[in-house]
Amino acid sequence: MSMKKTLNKDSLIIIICTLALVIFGCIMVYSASKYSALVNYSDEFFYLKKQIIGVAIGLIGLIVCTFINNRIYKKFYWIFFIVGIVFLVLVFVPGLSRTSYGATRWIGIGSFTIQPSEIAKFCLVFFLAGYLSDGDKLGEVKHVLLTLSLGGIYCLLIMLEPNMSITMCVAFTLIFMLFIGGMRLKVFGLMIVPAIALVVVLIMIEPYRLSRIIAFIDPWQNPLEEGYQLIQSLYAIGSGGLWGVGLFNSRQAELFLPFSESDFIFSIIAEELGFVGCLIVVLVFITLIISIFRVGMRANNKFSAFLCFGIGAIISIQVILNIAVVSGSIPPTGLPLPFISAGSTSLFVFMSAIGVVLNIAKQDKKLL
Amino acid sequence: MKKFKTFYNLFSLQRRFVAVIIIIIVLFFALLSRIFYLQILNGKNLQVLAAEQWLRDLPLSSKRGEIFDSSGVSLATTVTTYDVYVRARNVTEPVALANAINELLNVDYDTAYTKVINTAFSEILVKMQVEEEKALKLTEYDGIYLSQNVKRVYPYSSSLTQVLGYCTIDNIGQAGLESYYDKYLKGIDGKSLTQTNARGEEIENSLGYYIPSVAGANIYTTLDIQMQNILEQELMNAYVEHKAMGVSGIILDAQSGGIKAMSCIPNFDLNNVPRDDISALQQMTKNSTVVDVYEPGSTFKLITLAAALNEGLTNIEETFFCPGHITVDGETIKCWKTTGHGRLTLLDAFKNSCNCVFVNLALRLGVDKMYEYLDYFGIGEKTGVDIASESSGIVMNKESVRTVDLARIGFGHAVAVTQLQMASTYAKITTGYDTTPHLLDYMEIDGEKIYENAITKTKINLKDETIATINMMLANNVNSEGNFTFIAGYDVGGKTGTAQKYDENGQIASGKYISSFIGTYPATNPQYVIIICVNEPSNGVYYGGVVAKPIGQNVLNKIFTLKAFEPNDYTQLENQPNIIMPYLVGKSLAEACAELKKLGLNVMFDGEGEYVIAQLPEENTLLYLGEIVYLITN
Repeated sequence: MSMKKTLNKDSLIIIICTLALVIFGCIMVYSASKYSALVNYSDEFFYLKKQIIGVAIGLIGLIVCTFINNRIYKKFYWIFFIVGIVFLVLVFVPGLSRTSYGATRWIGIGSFTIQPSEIAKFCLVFFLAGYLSDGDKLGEVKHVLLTLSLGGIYCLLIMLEPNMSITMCVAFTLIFMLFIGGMRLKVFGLMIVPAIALVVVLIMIEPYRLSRIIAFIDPWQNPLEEGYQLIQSLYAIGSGGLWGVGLFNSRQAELFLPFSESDFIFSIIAEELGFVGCLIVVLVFITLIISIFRVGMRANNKFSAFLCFGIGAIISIQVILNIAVVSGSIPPTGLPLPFISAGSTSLFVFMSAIGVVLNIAKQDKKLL
Repeated sequence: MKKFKTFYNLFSLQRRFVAVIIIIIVLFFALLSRIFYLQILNGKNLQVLAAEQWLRDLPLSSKRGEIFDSSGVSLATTVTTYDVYVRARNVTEPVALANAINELLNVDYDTAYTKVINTAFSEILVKMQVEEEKALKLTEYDGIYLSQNVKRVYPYSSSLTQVLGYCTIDNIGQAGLESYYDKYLKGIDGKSLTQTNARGEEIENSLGYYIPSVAGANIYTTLDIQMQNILEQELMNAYVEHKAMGVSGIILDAQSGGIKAMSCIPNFDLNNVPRDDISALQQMTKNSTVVDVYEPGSTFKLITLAAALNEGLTNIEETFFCPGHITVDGETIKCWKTTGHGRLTLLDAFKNSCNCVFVNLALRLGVDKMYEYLDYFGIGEKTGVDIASESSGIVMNKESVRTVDLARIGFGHAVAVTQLQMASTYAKITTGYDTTPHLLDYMEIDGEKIYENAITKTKINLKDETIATINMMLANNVNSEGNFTFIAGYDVGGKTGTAQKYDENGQIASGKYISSFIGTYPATNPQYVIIICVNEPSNGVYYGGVVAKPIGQNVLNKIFTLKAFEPNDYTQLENQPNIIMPYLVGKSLAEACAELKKLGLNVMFDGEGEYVIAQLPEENTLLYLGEIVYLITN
């Protein structure tokens, strides 16, 4: 079987875009972290090495998933739901949980740490695809409420870590799935009111969110505390200009911008490669997302289609939220840029998800 | 293909799907516009702000110019010191460093240790103005950084206090020449910019920017430190002897206007400026020879004399009669000698400082002519000297001058001048040339003259014979019988003055005087004019002739010796005073006067009584023929 036969045009684009993004990610992770890695670990390649391992694991996930028939997942959609919940609960198990910056977001065994919420959001997508494709569930309000409740459990658990940004990501994915899944618009409209009320309540129970929002409106009001990260991000982006200061030449990565290799890597891209670099990165993401959606549209069954839409939705939402945060367009929350930011869990799950999409594309081809 | 279509239609939600894709693309492009705004439209502003945190700049102070006297002796110079900073994050041995700071910089250990471990700041000042040797020793420890600085040093400490002025700790001129020529002396500060990370640590192999400082100009003054030291010493002695409120003096180069020496006592050490008492400091910093005005009294008679002689309204042989007072406009003006000088020539009237004669001369001149000459001589105008806050003096408005006012101006009352103005006026009248008094000769940087003070010298409207007569009369004032007796062998002229002081209400302050002496040398065509003013002598005597004149005499005598000036008449070098002052206390005034007249001495007395209660000089002092003796009656 030659490559030509197994790969249609969309698959090729998806593979090229994914590889381009992860390789570019390695270069940028090195560029953004070389100074801090040298200062903190006396090894400028510290983060790059970790990232390359992440890419390798991710590639394994990608290849394995490409060859697993995606329709098998449909049989286990409740299992995905439970696995996701278990991962999220593990975060709160003493001995496994790892806390940093006031949030318990990681579980760890030895020096190996994973971020369960990264895995859980995909579990939810698998579950929703299975659940929603099982008849026209969304025609009935009780199923809508049930779907919302089940998704709500995920949101609640992630919120408890706390991890506001993944909560948002999961919530938007849930809404997206319901919308695409054919939920009646009337019901959709009714959801908006309690959603806004919920946001207000959330802000009230965790006052630090309000200070984040104030910092977002005017970061210079409190430049050393809440506003610091955003100001540093804006300095990085602003210093880039049209063509950037050149690869590996970031000044902001010299300890000025915290998390420059992870959540704020886009700022370093903007600084080093300028507006042109940002434009290219965004266009690659758009191409990838549209190709994933096209695969979904061509899928020969509702479950596979929903799976593609869900995966495409997670990527879109996470990229948009990430860029919105680093450019000061929405209040800052920590969220990695898919395929590019440093972080093995994120790389593994996103690349595996791409494998699932490729499998769907392959299956579609077979049927033709 | 059909099957695919079927599913697509079955799905029947493609419009929602298109809407979602459009929303996603719109959101992406909205974010790109935001990035475009940040990078392209607002990029410059953000870059400027970012650069502020990327670069740390250390100022490099420029070397302040030196101030020299006319022979190249340094009067104000700079030495290099270091400000010591600690960057706690780089400190490796905090205890050892704190100990070293404690020992070398004399900072107590606890203070030092708190600074050494305080990582909240990237850099903390430990001590300013540390000597090079100690500062360099400290750099053996990690975390110590130095900032080079220059400290102003005045080798002649309290000499020229008001003339040189001083600088702030940041080397900004605050008074005197330091302030007047600050913008030339200070030079241009440079800076060194280094690229740092967020912790303020320098980034290795990064490009730094180094803008070197430009040294300030050196200033060469007209001052002569040798003359200055003599003047300063004599004024200080007089300050103590006469328990005066203040003593000041100027030696002016009459030909060029250059100030050779200028001093005001009390003064202070410029290397240790007493900044604790600001009002006292301001008082002592003020150059009273230029800033303060006083009623000159008899020294001003030279102006009336010059005007009257030049206008041909009198001559040296004209004889006057002084009854002891004169009535003008119904107001009685007393001569200082209330019993009257009797019949006397103009020459004697100037020597004896007869008020009545000068009232006469002023009245002959009239207001218009008097004011014309005041104007020529620069009375009521600033001299234009390069010293801040110069006063112009006070001259009555010409329109409101009554005859009695004119009469008073004639002998130096109802007019106020500065000491420099008087010295400058004497220079004009005795040389016939108008020059601007000044301290600056030239400025140079690295041996290259960048500015030279052009000396303007204009002939004033005085006839040569007037000038010659005046110079002869000034010499006659201080010498006796045509011999150079004031300073043996040297041709010196002079005039004394005793002026009343006024209280804040403009009333004459009883017992408060300013005694002054103005000397010229050589009297025939003066090279130097010297003025000495003693403000409120309070040790019994106050006449200019007794208080100020001997100071001038001492100063000139010492300068002639030190500078080895050629005597004007060698034959008179050995001419020593040979009249022995008798003891006159307790004798009647008439008796005393007769005795002095027999010895060939002149007499001045104070008081209305009949008996002598004090005399000056003391008994057995050797005096020249014709010298004036002072007697105080009961």
